This record gives sequence, C-alpha cells and structure tokens, in this order.
Amino acid sequence: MLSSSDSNILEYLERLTLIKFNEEEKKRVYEEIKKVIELFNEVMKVEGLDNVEPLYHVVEIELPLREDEVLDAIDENHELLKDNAILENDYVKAPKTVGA
Amino acid sequence: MPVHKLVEEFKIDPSKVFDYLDSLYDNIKRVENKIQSFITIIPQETLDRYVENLIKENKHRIDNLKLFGIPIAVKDNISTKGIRTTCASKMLENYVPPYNATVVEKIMREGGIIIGKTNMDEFAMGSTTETSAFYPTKNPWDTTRVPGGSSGGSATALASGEAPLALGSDTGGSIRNPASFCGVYGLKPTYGLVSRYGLIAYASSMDQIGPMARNVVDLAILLSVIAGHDPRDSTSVPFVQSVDYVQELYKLYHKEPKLRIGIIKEFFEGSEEPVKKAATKAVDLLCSYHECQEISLPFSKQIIAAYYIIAMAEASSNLARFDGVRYGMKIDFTNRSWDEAFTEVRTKGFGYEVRKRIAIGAYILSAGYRDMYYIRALKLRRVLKERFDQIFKDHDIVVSPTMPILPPRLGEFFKDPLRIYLADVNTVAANLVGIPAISIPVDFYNGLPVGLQAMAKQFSEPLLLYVAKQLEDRTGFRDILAQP
Repeated sequence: MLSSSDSNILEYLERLTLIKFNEEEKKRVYEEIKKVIELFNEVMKVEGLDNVEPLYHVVEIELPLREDEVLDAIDENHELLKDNAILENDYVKAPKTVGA
Repeated sequence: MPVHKLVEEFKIDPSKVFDYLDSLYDNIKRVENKIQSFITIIPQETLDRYVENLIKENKHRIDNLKLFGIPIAVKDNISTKGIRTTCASKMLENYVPPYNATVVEKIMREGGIIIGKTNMDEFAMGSTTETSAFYPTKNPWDTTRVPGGSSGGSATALASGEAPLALGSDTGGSIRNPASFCGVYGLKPTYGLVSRYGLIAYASSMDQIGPMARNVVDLAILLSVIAGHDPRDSTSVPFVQSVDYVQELYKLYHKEPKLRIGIIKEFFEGSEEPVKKAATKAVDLLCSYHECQEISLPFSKQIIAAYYIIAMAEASSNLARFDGVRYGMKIDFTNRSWDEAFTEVRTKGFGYEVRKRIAIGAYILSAGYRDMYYIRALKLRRVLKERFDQIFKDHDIVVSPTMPILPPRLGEFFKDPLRIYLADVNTVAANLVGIPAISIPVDFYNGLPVGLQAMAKQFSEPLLLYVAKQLEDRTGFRDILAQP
C-alpha cells in the first residue's frame, strides 16, 4: 500500500507508464495519488469476496467470431498516416527499440 | 420547437431547413462565446451545401428519414469522417478521422446533419468539462458554474439552443451528470445496445454512447436511430435488432401500467438539501400513481472505489495506443530511443488528469497490486450486479437524484480532486453493471437545474422513457432554454 515512505513510487510509475510529471506537478500528483489509493483501499472492507468470480464484462456472452475476410478498406492509401508517419515501402518507421 | 415536429415541417417544405439553420447559427453567434460548447463548428455555408445535396439525393425518400434536416451536436470523442476529432486533447488536436463512427453513419443515413463537435473533459476523464485541453465550457444557467461532464458541451449546446439534439458518451455518468446540471434529458443505454465502433475508448467495459435532448420524445427518436447490433463492435449485443423507441414509449404511455419503483435510500441521504428536496418532490409525483418502496444500496464508497479502479486500469491500457508514430501529436524521433520518444509524446500530449489516471491505472495493475485492487474490484462488480438482479425481481425501476450536488463553481473542484470522484456516487453503478439509466430534469433551485435518475434492468429503455414522459407532463420540463 502506498505510504509516505514510498518516495520512489512516482519515479517507478513514470518509468512504468513512460509519462513524466514536472517538478511543480510532482508534489501535487503524489498527494493526489495517495488520496485516490486511500479511496481504493475501501474495497478491502467488503468481506466475503473470496469465492466470487471476477466480472470482467457485464454481458457474459461468448466472443463472436467471424470469417477472416476484409470487411471495409479503411485508409488503403494511407490517408490517415500521411500527416504524421514516416512511410517506407508501405511500412511505418518508428523510433529505435534496440541499440539506441 | 421539438425535433419530432421540426422533422414533420421539413418534410412538407424542405426549404425550411435553411431557415432553421439561419436561426440556429444566429443563436450560436449570440451565445457561443459565453459558454463555449463546441471545439469545432461546421461553417454554415458547408452545411447549407450539404443540405442541398441531401434534398437532391433523397428526393423520393425524404418521408422515410427519421432525422431529416436535424442538426446534431456530437461529442468530440466520436469519430467523424473529415471532421477533426480531438477528444479535447493536445494529443489529437489535429486528428481528422478517415471514417465515421457507426452512430454517426446511422444519423447521416436518417438525414441528420452533424453541426459540430462538442467540448468535453480530456479523453472523457472528468465530471466538469474543465480538464479539456482547450477551454472549460460554462453552464448556460449560470456562467460562473460548470456544466458537468464529461459530455458538458453536448449538454450546454442543447440547453442554450445551439442544437436540438446531441450525442454524448457515458463511462461513469458522463451523459447524466451534465444533463442534470444543464436541465436536459440524457440516457445511458444498456451496455451493448449502441455500437462503440468509432468511439475513442476510455474504459471499454463501461463506455456507452447515448442520446441527449430537450424532451423525452426527441430522446426516443435519437435512441431509435443509434441503437442496434453492429458486427464491427464485438461487444454489441447480437440479439438487438432495430426497435422503434418512440412507438414503445407511446405504447406504455397510453396503457399507463403501474410500476413498482424502488427509492434508493442512501443516494437521497447523501445528497445536499436542495437536491434532496427537488428530487423527493419528483418522486412524490411518481408515487402518487405508481407503487413505491424504499430500498437500500449499501457500500456507496466501495462502489465508487471499484468503479475508478476498473476505469483507470482500462484507461492505462487503452491510452497506450497514442504513440505519435502513426497519427496524433507529431514529434521528431531522429536518433532517439523508443522510450525517450514515447515519453515525450505522452507527456506533451496528455494533460495532467489523464497522466494521473494512467499512472494510477498502471499502479493498480502492477505486480503485487493487481489482485489486491483490480481483481477485487471486479469481484465487487459481480456482487453489485447480483444485488441489482435481486432488486429488479421486485422493482421495475429504481430512482435517486442524478447528482448529489448542484453544479459547482468553475475551479471549485480542483481544490479537492477526490470530491469530484465522490460526486459520481449515484451514477457509476449503472456502468458497473451495464444497465440503462436516464437523467430527467425535474426542478430548479435558485435558477440551477436538478435532475432525477431512473435505472432499470438491461434493455428496459422503454420503461425509463415512459416514467420520464410522465414526469415531463407533470413538471412541464420540456424544451426549456437557458438565456446565458
């Protein structure tokens, strides 16, 4: 559970989520996260949950499957990608993931 | 004039659509700078040309179009082909979708016109429309107050006469909360009734698109247009085909069945006095005809906790797709590592509240905490669903105030962010268990609207429309406009 001794927790979360908080935000967000986690701890107060199955989805039907065929041809000409992406031979170029 | 009458007029004389657009745009010019409902407004010339085409192309079938000539304001997290869709975020500030959401496609097929994209909390994360990366929207009944959220702009566009119909989305109350704060009708449908295809996801297992309107019949018209199975959304329920909710509503309205109504004790006790009073007055109106009984829904705080755990967990996963590599915010990543580039785009692109929720979501999903928080919340979700199944054995609908408070002043909630979360206490249950819920405007207190919420079991939307119509008749709360 989050406690005031976890000063590294924010760093850990920043690394985990690849998101940064600036110096000004850091103190505020730490206090706010602490308060939210305190609220979340309320779920511990409910007893008798051990044998309850988690409910992931409210409509418990089987996931529908369909034939593996193209239904709609969105963006065949890479319209969506043209503003942002760097395209090379119809592939999108991304930052380096190794050796950078 | 209500939409159902406008459509009839337009069908007799299609040129009246242009006159109507004239008056609508005049009004937008008058009020928009005071309340800022929209992020994007389609220029009138563009719509005029669109309508000319619409009339030409549908010459022989205008009579069949349910929304012929009706302008509709669409929340800015619903994809519109060729129209910028920002989610009120810097991340998508210049994003123009190459396709329409299913609901937008359906509206256009029925002759509806998209007039603009409405302001919202960034990625729908908020209850006041103040976390928008662009500007806050103001409540047209009192411009020093928030309109509620996250579909704030849709609600204010209706309340101030900038559009006669609107679409919102509701993950934990985001349609009902602004409907209540702005004095309009808003319905969160049963999970799976309306396709989410093209809705930019926040918490996928709870998100639903729904209609907002100034009267109940109009609400039913828009619901009829957008509901129904869509193979492109795998969570869309396959057994729902098209239902005419206007017909279903009138059937009940004329038959006037007596319902068994449950009054949620805790939700009344937890509301501030003026809200409690106004909601009780409305409940008394219902109970003078129907059969009422007090019921109990304990664990209010735990329900909110479970809701936010699930919402933030799903959000932290859903929002990982915004990497700036393919679309959305653009950054230069030459000679930079994936982590570095990805961190920069997410830090610059997401506002404070979104980054906070992603961080908390990651925390509760991380090793050691997943079972403690996330799985436990899902277990509580099942317990809650079973409790509602039990309640609906003896009750047709259950009622409570929509919001426990009156619309707060702008900025007030930022002083204590936890208070914003706690104010969702009455609305989140419907999303956790996937049942339909409506907010019905019932009264004013010092010029500020108060809403009553009614919930029913899955796919019982007609019952909610029926009680809403009964209340509308008795309170006269119909097509009321604010003068900001």
